[in-house]
This record gives sequence, structure tokens and C-alpha cells, in this order.
Amino acid sequence: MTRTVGAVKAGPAAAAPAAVRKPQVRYGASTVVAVAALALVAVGIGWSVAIGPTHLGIGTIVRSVLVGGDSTDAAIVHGIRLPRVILAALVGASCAVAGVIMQAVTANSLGAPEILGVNAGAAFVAVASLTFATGLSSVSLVPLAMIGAAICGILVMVTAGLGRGRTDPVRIVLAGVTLTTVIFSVMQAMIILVDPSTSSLFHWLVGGVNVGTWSDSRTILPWTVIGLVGAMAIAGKLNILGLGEDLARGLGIRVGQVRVLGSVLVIILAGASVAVAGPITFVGLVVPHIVRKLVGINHYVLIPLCALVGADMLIYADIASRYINPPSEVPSGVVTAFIGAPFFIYLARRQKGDQ
Amino acid sequence: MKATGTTHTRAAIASLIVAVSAAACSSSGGGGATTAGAAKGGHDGGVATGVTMSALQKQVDLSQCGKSTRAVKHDLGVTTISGTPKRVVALEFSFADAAANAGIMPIGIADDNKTSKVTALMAGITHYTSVGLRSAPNLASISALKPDLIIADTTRDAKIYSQLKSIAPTISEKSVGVGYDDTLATDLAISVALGRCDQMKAALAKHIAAMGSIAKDIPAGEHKTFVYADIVPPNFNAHSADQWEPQILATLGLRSVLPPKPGSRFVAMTLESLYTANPDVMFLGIDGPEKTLVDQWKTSPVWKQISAVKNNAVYFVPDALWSSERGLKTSEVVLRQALDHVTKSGK
Repeated sequence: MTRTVGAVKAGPAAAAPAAVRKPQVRYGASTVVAVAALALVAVGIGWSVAIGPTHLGIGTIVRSVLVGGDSTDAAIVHGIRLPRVILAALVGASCAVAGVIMQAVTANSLGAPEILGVNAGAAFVAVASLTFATGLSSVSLVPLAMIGAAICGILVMVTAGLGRGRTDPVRIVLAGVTLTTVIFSVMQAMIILVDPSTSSLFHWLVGGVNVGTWSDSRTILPWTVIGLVGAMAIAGKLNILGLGEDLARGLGIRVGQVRVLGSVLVIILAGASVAVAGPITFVGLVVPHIVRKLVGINHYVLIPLCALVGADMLIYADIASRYINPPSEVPSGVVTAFIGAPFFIYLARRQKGDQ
Repeated sequence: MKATGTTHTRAAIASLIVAVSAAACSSSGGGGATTAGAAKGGHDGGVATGVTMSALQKQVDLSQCGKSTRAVKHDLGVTTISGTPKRVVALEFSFADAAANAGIMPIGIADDNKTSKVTALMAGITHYTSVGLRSAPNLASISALKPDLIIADTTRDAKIYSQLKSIAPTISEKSVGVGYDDTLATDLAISVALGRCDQMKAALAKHIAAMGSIAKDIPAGEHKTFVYADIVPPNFNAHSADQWEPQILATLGLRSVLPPKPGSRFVAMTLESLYTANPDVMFLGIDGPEKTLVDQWKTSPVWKQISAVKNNAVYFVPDALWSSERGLKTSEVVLRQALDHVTKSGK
């Protein structure tokens, strides 16, 4: 089997086409991870809703979450704190699933929308749109962000030569990093030239969910569902693709088609996330690796668990953002960057060790 | 083709640097900015310390006034200046206003490429050459003007001070994040460099008298709480008590809901933290007619519970006038506008 350097490791029993088995499902580990992730989501939602400048009793919070009400306290819980954490869960899930798909279709463990220029492209088009047409809603921004994500994703793939035979994964990462750097430089120039004394466009350099509203959650929800359902629909093909391109072709998988489908799903998930929360970093990179380590490489299990763990990561990053420098809040995208950076270095060094 | 592990690691580290740099740039530009705006003397959020000429003259080293060749101390060192500079470039609006009030019209101003920011309130400045952004002044444009004095902003221009010095004698004072009283002290310090101490003292005395005259119309016993914030979507950047606008507003007897916070220009508030602070009056600086964060907050029942909203005491004010200029005449206009708003609310 031809093994691409930096590729996501193939599962066991991948020695010969005749003896191909589906990637093993570790049912026990998967169940434990699923239950733990769900529990952490529940705890995270409770914790996020419980903290804030206005002191609210537990009873008030529980009643407001479950029943609602007309009081100001209920409005704080239901109208300010709850939409924020729900948005964090949806965006985190979308970013993580986009990451796991991207790593599968590029056969690159460093594949993630924030590394390969997809998030940067989405953010750039969002910034450009808002510069020339202020007041655009997040609903209007979603298709625009997706267009930006698509253009940059295609540029990176073309630059890296994806689709023309085997592609060097390092080349993909370098192309993505280069394009991301160029785009962020252009965005910073726009910020300086168009809006030098204000920070309105800084949100598009690093994302956050601190002003998340129910409208934002309603905007991203259908796209998250489409992305998740679509990812599960191609999960089997992603499993086979993980065994190697040649083997996948030998088994009748249309590799090009799977890559296109996967890329479309990444664009949908990344574009929608960036439109409502800006470019959140490292969730798409880190979460698939963590989950893969725990439950293996079967995408039927990997995808939904990545969604849950991705939600966890952004929920807790958002909680942490409120403790770092009160009463100001650090954007949650900064927190994910500081969580993800050490992991990123560890990953790169581990791959060097593998080689 | 087989890539080396070293190359792979370098690619990983390069992408890491991109991501963390973007995060760092954003966090340094967002809420909670890092400029130093230490208030001298004591301020509590409720009653403003009265600014007097004697207090200002004690704050500033006036020993070089009247000398033909002056060794002027400033934030970044000591600069020797001879005679009266005539070709002055100001890298902040308040510095341009100071020079003009001292009788020297600046020939160059860093106006963020927006001439609209230099209004008629700025002591009659009508002709000048733009030298670009305050955050990144154009050194070539400054050099082309052949200035004999450059007045730089310590917070923004410290990194290019040596280049500025090579163009012309340069002094550096703080403007960003500085309170009202410190702004007046800086004006006096600039007049020492200009060799126009007496003119500036006269202008400041006239200004202090004008502020006192406006303050006479303040109703007795005024003690409402207030917040002043720049509305910069998606942020609500409230200014702490030691910043310029809150100090002006404290002259009216109003009390800031935020305490002094030296080292930080503003606090990014959420709707909930604003509700908790519950100001009686809000002054919100906006840049134009575009929708802001407040338009989104207005739909929330929490917004309607804030005292200022219930009292119909939410006032949208022009950000350029209230935040950017910080000149002598501008201060008088801002105080008068604030007084008109507060007395109109009539409570």
C-alpha cells in the first residue's frame, strides 16, 4: 500500500485488497467517550449559563432555562447566556466535523479549515462584504462566506496539485499557510486603511461567540445538520479512502467524487461557522486527533463524536474566556488558539518521530 | 516524493505562527486595549477634581519657558529646540489643537486620511497636509514637509521615534487614553517646546473660565450615574472613569459606573454587564448611521430594564467630536452638549 507521508494512519488489516476489513469500532471506548462528551456538554451549558455579572440563583437559572418567563432574570438567562452557549456548541461541532472530513479527504493529519486557508477565505469575503455593504445580517453573510471558503479551498488544492496524482501533504499545508498569511495581511491592511481607530473588523481575524444570539444559532443550525448528515452519508467512503488512494480506487471508490463531496461539506460547515462566529482556530485540527486516539478511525463513530467533543471544546473555551481578564472577555478564538497551539507542536513533532 | 520530517515540522510551525499571530493581533486590537492612561492625582468616579492653572503649572516643567534654546523633557527623552518652530507636524488631533491654540498652525497632521476629523472647532486650522494614519504615519510625507518640530504620540509612535528624530526635532507625549486634565497638562508641555508658554497659558486660562461658565448651569445636587461608550460593532467599549470623556462628564457631577482603570482605555461590556452596572444616563459615541450592536440589544427585554433606557436618557453623540479631537474648544462643546442632554432629561 502506498503510504502518503503525514497521512492519517490507516487502520489494521489493510495489507491487501482481498483482505480489506472495515476499520474496527471500539464499541466500549466509543460509548464511554459519547457519554462523557454529552455529560460535559450538559455541564458546560449549565456552567456557562450560571456565570455572569448578574448574580442569579440556581433555581432561577433552572426555571429560566426550562420554563422561560417574563422576568428580567429569565431574559438574561434565556436571551443572553443561553444563546451564547448554544452557539458555541453548534460552531464547535461544525468546526470539528469540518476538520475530520478535511483530514480524510486530504489524507493529511494537519488538514483543517483554519490551516488550509478555508476559514481565512470565508472571513475575507465576510470582511469585504461588510466593508462595502454595512449592516449585512449573518444570514446574508453565510453564502458569501461559503464562496470565500470555496475559492480559497480550491486555490490551495490547485496550488498543491491535489487531483493530479499523489499530492505531497506538506505542499498542501504550505499552500494553505501561505494563502492564510496573505489573506490575513490583506485583512489587516483593510482594517488599518478603512477603520483604523476602531476594532469592528478585528472580530474577523479571530472569532468568538460572546455576542451570540438565537438568530445566529438559527442561522447555523440547518447548515450544521446538513454537514453532519452529509458527513455520515460519506463516512463509509472516508473509511476506505483512509486505507490509501490506490486501494480505494481498487475497491471501486471514486476518489475524486468523494473528495469533491467532502470539500463541499467542509465549505458548508466552515462558511456557516465563520459567518456567525468568525474564524475559530484549532478546533478543526485538534478535536479529530483527540477522538481518533480514543475511538479509532471508523468515521461512522468518529464524525458524531467529533461533533460532541468539538462542541465541548468551544463551550469550555468560551467559559475560560470570561475568567481570564474580567470584566473584559477575551475572544474564545484566542483561547482555542492557546489550547491548540501546544497540541499542534506535539503533533508535528510526533510525526517527525514517526518518520 | 518523500518529505522530510523537518520540512513537515516547519510547515506545522509556520501555520501555528499564522494562527497565533492572528489571535494576538485581534486580542491586542479588541476590548481592553493596552494604552497607558494613568490619571494623575486622585479621582473618584463621582466628583471631578477641578482643573486650575496653578495645578497645571505644577504638573509641567516650565523652567525652559522664555529661553531661546530649550531642553524640553518629554516621554522619550530630552529634545533641544531653538527659536520658535513654525513648521509643526502633529501626529495626534489634540496635539494639532494645542499647537493652534499656542498660535502655531500645524502644517501636517496625522488625520487618518479623513479631513472631516479636523473640524472647525480645532482653533481655526484650515490648511494642512495629511501625513496619514495616526497608527502608521507616512514618514515620507512628514519628511517632504521639512518640519522643524514633530509632536509624536508616545503610545503609537515610540517605535518610529528614532526615524522621526532623524527628520526633525521630535517631542513625544501621551494622547491615547489620557484624561481631560492630563490632556491640558500635555498642551502646556507642548507650548514649552513651541516657545509659546504665555500664549498657551492665556488659552488655557480662557478655556478653564469657559468650562467654569458652562458648569454654572449645572443643577445642584446632580449625582446620576453614567456610562460613556464607543459603539464599535461588535463591541460596546465603555470608557473608565479616568478617560477623557468621563472626566468631562464628571464635571457635571455625574458619576461613572466604571472605576478608574489605569493602563486600559476601555472595558468591553456585554448587555448583561451593562444591565448590572445600570447607569442612569448613557452617552454612546457612534460613527455614522449604520446599525450598531445597540440596535440588536434594543430588541432584548434586558435592555429595557436599564435605568437610562427607562429614563429616556440614552444619547447618541458623534464619536469624532467626543472621542477623537479632545481639543480646548471641543471640550467646551462636549460639556455644553452633555449639559443640555442631562438637563433636558430633567430628573
